[in-house]
Amino acid sequence: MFDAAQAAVEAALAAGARYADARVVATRSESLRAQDGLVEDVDAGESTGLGVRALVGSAWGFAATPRLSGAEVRRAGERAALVARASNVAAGLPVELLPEAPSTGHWENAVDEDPFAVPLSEKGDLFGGVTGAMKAAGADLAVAHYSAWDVQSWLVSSEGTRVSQRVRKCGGGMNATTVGEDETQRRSYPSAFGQYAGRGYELIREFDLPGHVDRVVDEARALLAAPQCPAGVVDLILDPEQMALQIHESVGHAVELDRILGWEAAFAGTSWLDLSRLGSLRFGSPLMTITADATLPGALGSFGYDDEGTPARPVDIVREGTWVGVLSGRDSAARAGLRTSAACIRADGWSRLPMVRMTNVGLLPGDSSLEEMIAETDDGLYMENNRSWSIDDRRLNFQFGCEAAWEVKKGRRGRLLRNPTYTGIGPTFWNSLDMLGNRDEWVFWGTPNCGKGQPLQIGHTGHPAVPARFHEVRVGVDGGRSRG
Amino acid sequence: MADPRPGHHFPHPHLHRRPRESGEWQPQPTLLFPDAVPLADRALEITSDVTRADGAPDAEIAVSVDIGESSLTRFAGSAIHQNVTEDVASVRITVSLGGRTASVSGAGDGPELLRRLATAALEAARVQPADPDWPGLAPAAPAEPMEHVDAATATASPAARAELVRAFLDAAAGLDCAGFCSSRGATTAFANSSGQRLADSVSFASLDGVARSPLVSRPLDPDATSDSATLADGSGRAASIALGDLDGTAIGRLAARTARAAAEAPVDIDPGTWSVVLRPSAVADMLAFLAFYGLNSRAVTEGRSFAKPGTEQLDPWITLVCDPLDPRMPALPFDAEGTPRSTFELVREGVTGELAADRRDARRAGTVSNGCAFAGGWAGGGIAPAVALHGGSLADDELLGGLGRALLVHDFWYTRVLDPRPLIVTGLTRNGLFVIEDGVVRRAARNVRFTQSYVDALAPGNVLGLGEAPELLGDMSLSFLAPSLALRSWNVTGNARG
Repeated sequence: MFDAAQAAVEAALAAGARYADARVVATRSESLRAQDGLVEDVDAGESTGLGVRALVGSAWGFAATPRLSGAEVRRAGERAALVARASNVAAGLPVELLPEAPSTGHWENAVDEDPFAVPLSEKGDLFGGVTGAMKAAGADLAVAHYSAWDVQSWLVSSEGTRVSQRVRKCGGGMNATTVGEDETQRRSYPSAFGQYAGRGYELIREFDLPGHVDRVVDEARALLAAPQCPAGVVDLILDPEQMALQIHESVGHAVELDRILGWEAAFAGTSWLDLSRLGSLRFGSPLMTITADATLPGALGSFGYDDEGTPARPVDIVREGTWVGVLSGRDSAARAGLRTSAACIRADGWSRLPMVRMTNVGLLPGDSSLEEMIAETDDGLYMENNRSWSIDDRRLNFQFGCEAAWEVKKGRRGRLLRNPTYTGIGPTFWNSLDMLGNRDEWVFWGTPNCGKGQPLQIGHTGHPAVPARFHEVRVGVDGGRSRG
Repeated sequence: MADPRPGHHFPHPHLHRRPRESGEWQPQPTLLFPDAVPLADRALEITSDVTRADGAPDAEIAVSVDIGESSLTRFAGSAIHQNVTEDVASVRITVSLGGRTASVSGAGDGPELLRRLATAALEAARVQPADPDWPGLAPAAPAEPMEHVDAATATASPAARAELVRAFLDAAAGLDCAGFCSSRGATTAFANSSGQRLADSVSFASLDGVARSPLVSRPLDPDATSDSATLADGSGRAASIALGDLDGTAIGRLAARTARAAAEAPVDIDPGTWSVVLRPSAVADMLAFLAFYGLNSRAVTEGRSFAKPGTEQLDPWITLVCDPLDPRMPALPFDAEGTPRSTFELVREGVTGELAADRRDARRAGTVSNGCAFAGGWAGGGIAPAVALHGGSLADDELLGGLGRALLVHDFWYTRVLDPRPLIVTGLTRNGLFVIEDGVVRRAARNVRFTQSYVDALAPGNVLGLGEAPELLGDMSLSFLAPSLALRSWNVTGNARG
């Protein structure tokens, strides 16, 4: 595989590139979906190909092919340089790459139980079984899902980098939907879209899906009869899974340097953050410390090297409320005048151009607990599990819906409420953070469906999170359709 | 505003045009990538060999092959910064053993890959329980040869795309611009063990960008606690089967004009109920949600949809047609299960009509598939692949003319469903928001958040008019023909301050 990548790099250089790198990526995947006791969909895939990136003038050129013969990979290298050169019709500032020592070596994540070694029949029994149990317990629709990936890659660059790695990941979950007169309600476990990690099948076993069937269904049924979440401004406690998505949307994307530089302005959007205030801007309360750490064992966004060969490294993003770091690669870091790349360049397989992606962007834990937050809240809401998410193109104005909420009155959890939502402006919201869960509640949540780039790329990102409390948050936005 | 109410049946030239009877591979005058056909034959043959050799001679087998080329040129900061091209060669094999079904996909075209995929599909199918709703394979039936394709687009050079980008940038000179120009083409060949053989090609090109103009007024809040935007964006876009149809100058000029207007002292909008005029891109967003969550058979069967066929649920202005045969749509004449596609009415003058279905949806609902299957798409059910909102007749000034105070919305952004059954969606406006007063666009506004049931927005009595010029939006998998749309009531639930 290294030979194919080397040939593509040499062809790109011969065609005029001043820098080139090439990745051969072999991905094996497997997914399963069950509903109402039946495994409806089993899908597997294997995809091997080569992508080569060439720098000519002010633009990246990229070409990809699933055919790995010598002639095809050389042609891909030449095409990468050719398409880059065509960009000179509308040339911009020269692209520079921040110096990095060439990497050599191999990395792979540790898994206890290879997910692909577990018989499909066993997976079918588990996921089909829990949906049958949820259906029998009263769910109108019972769904469970599972996915696994085994990604091997070989990277060669014109600077001498030659690294390989293997990352195995899996995850899944289940949910119960109940159908009412004019609406549906849903409860999920272990999270709204499943929990995913850079781990083996042991992760699935730890979920104990059968042990959560009754609670999930009972709550989904109870939601249909629960009062509507009232509109107002309250102290809001969020569960760690919703916190993971809050971090992802309002911090993770906002600190992507390509967005800050305007490179994603048309599609993904930009960022409200201004580089001139890096190191001084108050992003949140002093409880807020966020890192991007691709070295966390078992997290979904972990790796050994990013897709331009820079070794994974932890990066401070927000330190005690102050914005101190960004997610970057060698080109964006050079453009921004930074001293190092954050090693965040990743691609969705062999056919996509590597770009700035989140690694494991998460909160460091505090010293409270969910129990203490509830006990110390006089009038508030506790919300669990995401149901909808939306944020503006500068990553400021957000609105999230959750599956369920509970009143918190005088330090006790009260009535269940349906259709809870909350909304806010990023820095205002983060500055209202006043309690943070502790290390015992710290979970490395995984998001397997982060979309960015054109052509669209799906990224796998990790988000360490704990429960948290926010002061005076607007809740209960329902578009004038109060139903309870 | 003139009386715009539809009082007649809209003509749909492709309606009820059904495919001819046929048998083997149909003659296809324009296969962009003819290698797709022998590759599909090989994949079917190898899979048959594998299943026979492994004691499953009665296995039902379907294969689908895509061969093509996909390229995209991105620009930002008024310069091209990313330029990509990809050879596409993918194979998908489905094996079913008496309703025990599994699918495997792979990239490439070698015999070893095909054999591995076939073996994996058979092994996976063997361990599945039988699906009582397994509908069997699509029977042999010909599809309408469509040739929604332009050969030059499929293999367009990076220079051709760069020239279009250059024209966009020149037309928006002085403004910061970002966007993309894409060109794609592919041949899909489908074959199954029931004798179905279909192949056709599609091409698609798109130029889509924003121009960004410095705000004439001061930003709301320089400390970024609410909205520190210093630029106002305007968008321009066009799509077609043929790259040569795209006019970079016109698209860039539209984006620049909108951006400059949006930058003129934008005002803050109060939350509340507003009338709105939605430009085609925002309308296409509504059509996509209706297609995904509402007008599909599986969602109705499972109680997740608002749709009640035969019932007047939307305004009489609304006639939605699944129209893959329209030559403007970048659609294939058959779906992922090999069912020939046809044209049918999802909604006719406000009355919910035929629902999109794949073969399994149709079996459960007691109907027949209308060619809306997507690969691996059972989870959501069949989705109408090409949706046209028909019947618009109003020029822009007529559309705005009857409105007292309203908002003109160019694009929606980041729309997500709160509850699929009432189809309540939240999202934001983007790339141009303006206040209309007395039928005239008066001033720019800062973007707002909305939380709105799309069904309620289109309910009887709520549609004030449709524009006369539909635009093509979407891509090769899901496309829309959408005009501008005036609506009586829209819930603005937040503004730039939150």
